[in-house]
Amino acid sequence: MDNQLLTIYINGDAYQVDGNDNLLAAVLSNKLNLPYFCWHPAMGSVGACRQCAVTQYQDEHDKKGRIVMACTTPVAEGMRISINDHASQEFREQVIGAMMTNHPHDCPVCAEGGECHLQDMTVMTGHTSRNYEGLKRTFTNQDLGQFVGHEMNRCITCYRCVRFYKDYAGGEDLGVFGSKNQVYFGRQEDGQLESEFSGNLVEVCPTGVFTNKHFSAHYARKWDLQSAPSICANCSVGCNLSVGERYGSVRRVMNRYHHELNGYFICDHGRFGLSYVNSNKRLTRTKGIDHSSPMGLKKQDVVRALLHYRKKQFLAIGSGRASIESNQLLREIVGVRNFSTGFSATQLPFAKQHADYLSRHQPVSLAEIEQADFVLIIDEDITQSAARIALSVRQALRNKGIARAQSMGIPSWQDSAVRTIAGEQKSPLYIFTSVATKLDSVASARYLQSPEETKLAVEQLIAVLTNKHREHEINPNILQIADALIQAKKPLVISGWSHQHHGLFSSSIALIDAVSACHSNSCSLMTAPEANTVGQLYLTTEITQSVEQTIEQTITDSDIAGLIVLEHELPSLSKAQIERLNSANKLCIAIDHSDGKFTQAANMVLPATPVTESHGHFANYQGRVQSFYAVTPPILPIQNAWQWLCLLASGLEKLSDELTVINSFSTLHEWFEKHVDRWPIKLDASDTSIAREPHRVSGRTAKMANQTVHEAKTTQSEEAYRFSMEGGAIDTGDNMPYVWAPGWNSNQAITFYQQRPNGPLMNRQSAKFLSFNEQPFHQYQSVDEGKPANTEHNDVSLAMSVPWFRRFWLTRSQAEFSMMVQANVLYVSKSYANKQQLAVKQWVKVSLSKKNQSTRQEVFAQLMIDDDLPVNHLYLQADELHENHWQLVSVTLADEQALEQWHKQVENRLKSAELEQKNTLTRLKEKDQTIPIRLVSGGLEDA
Amino acid sequence: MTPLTHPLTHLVDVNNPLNFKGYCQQKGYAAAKKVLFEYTPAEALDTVKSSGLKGRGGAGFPTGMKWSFLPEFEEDDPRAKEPKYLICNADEMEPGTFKDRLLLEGVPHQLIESMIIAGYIIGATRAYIFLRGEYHLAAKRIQQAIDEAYQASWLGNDIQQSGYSLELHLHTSAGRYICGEETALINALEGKRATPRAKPPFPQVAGLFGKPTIVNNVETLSNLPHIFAHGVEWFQQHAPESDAGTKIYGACGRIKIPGLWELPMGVSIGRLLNDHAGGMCEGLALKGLLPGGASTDFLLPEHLDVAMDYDSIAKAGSRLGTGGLIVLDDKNCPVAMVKNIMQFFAQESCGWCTPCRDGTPWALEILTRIEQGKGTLTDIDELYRLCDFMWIGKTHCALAPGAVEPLRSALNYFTDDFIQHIEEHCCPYQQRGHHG
Ligand SMILES: Cc1cc2nc3c(=O)[nH]c(=O)nc-3n(C[C@H](O)[C@H](O)[C@H](O)COP(=O)(O)O)c2cc1C
Ligand code: SF4
Ligand code: SF4
Ligand code: SF4
Ligand code: FES
Repeated sequence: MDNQLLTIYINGDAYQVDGNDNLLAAVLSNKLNLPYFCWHPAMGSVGACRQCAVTQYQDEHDKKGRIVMACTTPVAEGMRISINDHASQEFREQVIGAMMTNHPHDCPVCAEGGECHLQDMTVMTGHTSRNYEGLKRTFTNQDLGQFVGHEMNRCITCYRCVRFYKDYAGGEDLGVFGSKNQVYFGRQEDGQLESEFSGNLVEVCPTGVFTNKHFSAHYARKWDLQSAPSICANCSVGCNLSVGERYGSVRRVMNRYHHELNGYFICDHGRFGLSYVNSNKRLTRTKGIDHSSPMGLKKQDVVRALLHYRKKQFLAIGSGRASIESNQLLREIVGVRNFSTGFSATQLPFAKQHADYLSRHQPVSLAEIEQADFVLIIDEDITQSAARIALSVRQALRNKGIARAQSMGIPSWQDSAVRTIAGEQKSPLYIFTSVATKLDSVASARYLQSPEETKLAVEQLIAVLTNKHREHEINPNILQIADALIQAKKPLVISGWSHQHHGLFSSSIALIDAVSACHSNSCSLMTAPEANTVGQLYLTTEITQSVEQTIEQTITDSDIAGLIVLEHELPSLSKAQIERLNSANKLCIAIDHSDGKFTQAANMVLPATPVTESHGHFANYQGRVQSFYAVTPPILPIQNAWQWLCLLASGLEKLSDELTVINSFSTLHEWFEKHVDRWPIKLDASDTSIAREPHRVSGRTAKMANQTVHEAKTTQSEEAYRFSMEGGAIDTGDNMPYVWAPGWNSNQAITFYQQRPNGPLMNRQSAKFLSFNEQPFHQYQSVDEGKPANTEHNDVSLAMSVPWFRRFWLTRSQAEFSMMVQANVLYVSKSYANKQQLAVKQWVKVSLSKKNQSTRQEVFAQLMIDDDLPVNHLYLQADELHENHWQLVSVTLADEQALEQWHKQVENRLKSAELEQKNTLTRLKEKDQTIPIRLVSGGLEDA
Repeated sequence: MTPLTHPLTHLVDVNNPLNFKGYCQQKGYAAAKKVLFEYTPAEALDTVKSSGLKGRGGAGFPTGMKWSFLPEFEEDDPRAKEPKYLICNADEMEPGTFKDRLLLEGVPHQLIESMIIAGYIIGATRAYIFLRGEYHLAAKRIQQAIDEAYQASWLGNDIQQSGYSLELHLHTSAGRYICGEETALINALEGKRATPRAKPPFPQVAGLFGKPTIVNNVETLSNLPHIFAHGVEWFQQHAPESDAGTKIYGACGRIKIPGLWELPMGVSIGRLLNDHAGGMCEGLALKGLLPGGASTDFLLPEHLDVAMDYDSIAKAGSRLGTGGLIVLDDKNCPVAMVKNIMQFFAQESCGWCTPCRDGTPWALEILTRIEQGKGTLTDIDELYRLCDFMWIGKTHCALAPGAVEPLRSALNYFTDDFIQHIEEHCCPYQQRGHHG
């Protein structure tokens, strides 16, 4: 539909509105206050709460008018409405009054207090006293698991939670129960919410029914939080976050609106996957450097420690979880030849092909995904690997129903009407997959098979699309997919790295090429493993070595003095290699924020900042360059990795002297611009400063009064954001530290900074993308997989299903995630089970190996039959496996004793996680009282 | 009783309803046969339109017009091949209303014949009878009749070799008043929560499973065979200008003969009450009455001359609704009666929209206090405010405005009773020992 501007009259004044909007969106677009509850910009209108009532007049002579619900009324040219007439004002006040008959008014103990939409709307309607004299209804609350708290008495029955959880996000375990004024929103019984998007309930619910458990446990009011714009570091989507901190600990993560990416919603990985920054596994001290003064670290200390290594050659390994800046600087220090981008030997071919793909295709944004009317997913369980993308795919499937509704004159925002009309109709989604995925149930067809078979299917599809096929050779299912694809207005192909099959990866890219050749409006995307993987692709060249090669070379090459590893855990590093590194007298320098295998092995450890204390950029799966800012300044000797690297450069006497005096982010960038070819980032010069703290922040001068009466100097930095309440209240562009507007204390205030609901922010900066056009690799040759060696199961393929809370090293350092145990299950076909003489629910021992390595792993799992599985393909869902690189050796019946022992291990792990969670909380609460005083600011020279 | 004077009820036998054979011997299924073989659906629709039949479910919407809102698609439009549905609304839960029950239990085959006719006209391939959960006897008898009709090829594939096929299913409700609202009914039938849907789209366009659907009341449908058997003129002669056909009226309360009567549309309230229902019980006088179920406004003794048709009752300030009178005598407390009604609506609110969900219990709380003698004069203002709050346009469906009708009219007509409760701090009726 075209965006057609109309004029309507609100309170007698003329306003321009978008002709496709409803009245509520139109009123809010004009920055007028009108309260609402059940409407949500992304979820549309259902007319349940009746809070958005206005009076509509037939013409200028009509003085009486009639009450209509703004959210369900389409705008029309010349329409006359009033918000400030007595009738609609009184009605709106009554609606709040009626909701409040059952609300407990327990604001003081409510984690929503101070940023509660219900509080805001109550004030807005002018409801100031209670007339109801009866009893309030009460409910029993549920334990909803690790993330989301539940306090049902606060419910005002707006139905937003279920509409989000079930209708929007496809969740199945949260529902509506009961009726009349006893409507209950919860699960059938207590238990962990199953959806990957459960945390959005916290923001979707306009009251304090659903709250962030982590935040509630260590709580501060919104106005007491220091916040900064951040980027989620947990997957390649790059959702925008707003992170809140007080007394040096990160308290919570909220969605930060981005109209092309996350919109209003993020996944639980982003919302709850950041508390590792508060963990006691954080590195706070250097290793291998003598501090000259007990007060802190001096630049001279670093220079002295590196005295013997001046001008020597080092190898280095960067990583996809470090910033573009840190990686680039490391590469400059050691030189392109000596710099590994952090990909393993298995990953490197993927990386090179992925870069090649990016040189020819621009991956679509999430907003564009939601416009697609055909989706093909090639063996990537996006719900687990890039959850927010799966949420957008679910919205894309609604397009068929929306089109049908539109043909009946029903606009897409009439949510319940559109769903009624759509019924079960969905846009086509086809899935090739080696594991069962959550999207399977909404797919038109799902083919569960090995990556090898999927590769053949993809090749057939290419043949059909390029007309290089003979009809009889093609599987009819493939013809059906091709038909649907060609008929679509905007077909979308999605794939990624998870299947670990090079052949399939190249054919997927070939398919995307073929689709874009035969369909001018087609689009695609490839997910990548980490937040800044695509940034690393940009630094990967023909000669880039894998992690394994780099380690091996460090050990064997006598010209190499040592190895610098930037925020990489080196999962493949073996004990033997560590010993060899030591005996070869190599200097191993680890720059990281948390303790891991390599930081323990290294002789020099430089504690770096995690994303919440850093300033830098990540490139998401599209190559979109996004900046994150420190929420709280690091406490020395913790520094940004790039700051450490500047020190290393000067100690090792690498690079120009200029670099050695760099002490700010902008001078670093100036240096890059001068010295680096194709340096992709241009910093926006900001002449205003923005406060990270709201003006209401309490204890401004007294926060540390228990330690000293001197008011500390706030940490200074040249960036726009201040670690204080100095500066503008809020940025109106892309990088708001938090959202607030007069009268709107909750995140719903975002409407006042958008051009229109769901639209871009008012002062939007244009998006920046890494350009891969000059990629040096052309049609990268795929390496031959080869058959896995020495397994009994040569003909059987095994896939891993890695649940999202098990992914990445960081979830392992978070107790909450370790506590979300899932039973291990091995899914096999019936005939496989028969052949192996195994029965359903039996416990089996699955032996696994890594390709070309002697590493073995054994896991216990319960056997399940999946009738859709082909004989020669199985998949394993195992809690203790975090990566996909395993190959099957054997499946045997588990022996009782070993099994029992294993069960005990699992139990112990749970117990220790529980304990850790408790201890962390206690430690943080103590820290609130004894926060290390930062009388001085962050920079080294400052000390 | 003849087919011509009492078309709907002349075959009713509540103790021993006609089975298939018996019904056929009474010219049963003759009308259906006539329609299937002698009319095109369009011709038959014209007949229904010109008959002037209005819906008997409470709203009085012209039936033929409703059916003509079904979308028409070009032949090559894929939507032309999609199914259409017919639903008989037999949820009858309106307090004081039991007319559909008579037809369901007393002459089940008449409903099936009616649904074949309606289904043929609208082109439905599948039909449902949505039956009130508590109507156990009706469920048994309707199911029996359906089975017989299938056996006799009056249901199923190619009915009587006419080329028309219809599947008919009986669905017994889980028992909520709101399931009678047609879109909530459709949701319930789909297995969803019984919450009314947003309109548009109306069910005619997107109803059951998103497909075109017609919902009609039992009594409405039951008129069809007789319209086709005896003609449009015959049908219209029963009623004044604006209406047509007969109506099953009911009456309950402390009257001599509570019951149901099929009468020409437009009989006066006085004749219904005094001639058919035998007048008030000994020693009681008429204080007021709800003319068409609990969700209609009170009328007073001064309204006895008003004709029981849609327009006349509306002019008198109430609604014909279901045509089931609930009579209030002078020894029963009107506040208690209104409270009782409000309790019903508060209980039956689906919980979707705020005014109804939280407004009905609030009104109930106030009424309870007033009835117990604990009310204040400001409570009366608050009740008026709540009436406004729950009025048409402010709620998502018609349940809450229905709950307002008896309350607001009682506040207007029986003001003294409310004030007496408040000033005397007790129920004056109880004090005089009149209750019960
Ligand atoms: C709260 C509510 C309850 C209703 N209950 C019934 C009912 O029990 N039976 C019925 O036939 N119609 C009932 N209706 C009316 C139906 O929504 C619908 O108008 C009717 O079934 C249409 O049939 P008709 O056109 O034949 O009257 C109810 C409406 C509302 C708002
Ligand atoms: S939900 Fe809002 S209004 Fe309710 S207790 Fe919490 S802060 Fe107060
Ligand atoms: S729990 Fe929250 S979101 Fe859900 S209905 Fe209640 S108030 Fe609305
Ligand atoms: S008025 Fe609202 S709450 Fe009441 S039954 Fe209708 S939709 Fe439900
Ligand atoms: S916001 Fe419009 S009815 Fe709820």
